[in-house]
Amino acid sequence: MKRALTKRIVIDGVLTAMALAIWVVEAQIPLPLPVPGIKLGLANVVTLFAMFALGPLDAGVILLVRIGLGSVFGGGLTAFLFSLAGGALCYLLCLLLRLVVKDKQIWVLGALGAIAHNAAQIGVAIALTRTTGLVVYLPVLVAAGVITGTLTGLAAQASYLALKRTTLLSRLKGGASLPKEPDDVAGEEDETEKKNQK
Amino acid sequence: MKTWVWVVIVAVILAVSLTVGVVLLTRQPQGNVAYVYVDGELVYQVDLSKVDQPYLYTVNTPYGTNVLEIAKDSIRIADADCPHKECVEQGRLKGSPLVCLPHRLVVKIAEDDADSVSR
Repeated sequence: MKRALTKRIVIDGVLTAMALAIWVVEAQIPLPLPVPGIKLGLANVVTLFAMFALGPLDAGVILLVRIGLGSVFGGGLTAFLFSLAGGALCYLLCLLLRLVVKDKQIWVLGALGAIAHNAAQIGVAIALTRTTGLVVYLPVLVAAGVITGTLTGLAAQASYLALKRTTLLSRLKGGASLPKEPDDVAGEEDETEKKNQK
Repeated sequence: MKTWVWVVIVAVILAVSLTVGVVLLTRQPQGNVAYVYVDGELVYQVDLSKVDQPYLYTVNTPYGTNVLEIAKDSIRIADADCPHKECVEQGRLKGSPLVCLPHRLVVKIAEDDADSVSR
């Protein structure tokens, strides 16, 4: 039991580190667009993947820790508020949607989740600047969210389906069937490294 | 739900939002007075139709500074001391307000009396 919990913490930690690295790198690449706030949202690939591969709780923990650490690694308070509002609304919508989508429709969560994320961010922007006029940005951000969200959703879906064909997923999730043989443990480490390189 | 249903839903959202968004962002501003707000408070206003010589105006906010470039019928953010300079990327003000979120700064164009009306 204790070992299962340790394993879960380690796996969540590895995924959080991946998400944070992606987030930090992405923040260094500003997109030269005339609309503020459009980004690829690549870190959401990890959250979505975790939601299906590990479960909603793990995905929520990974999301929260990534957002918290992200603001420490150079986002600041403003970025923290935006990430938290966007991430929370996106997460809640995905919680509902995952009950109705099939494995091959995970990209829908990416697309609709990104819309929720961007809508929440416009809300925060309006609250911070006290300018309701900013709502004119909403349609463009929704459109951008659909495009980027579909792409990141497809990435999460592809990773999940690829790993589902292996025994790795059940071993990631289930603490019950712990690998006893040293061979298995080595194999697992290899897989984690491969994911990191992606 | 079948996958094609999701594809239709997502495609419709994309088409509608993209159309509305492009129309909103490219329309010409109504009016000729530029208003500069920090934290929702009006800090500067200028009638752009009466500007003869282009000039720079520096806005000092509690969070940082933005330099506005004001010319006849044109206003843009020329520089800012924020890391990403997304406000500078926005270029000249068109249909949607210029925003600098780290500095809580908004620039918008409205009719001369729009400010008194909105109060």
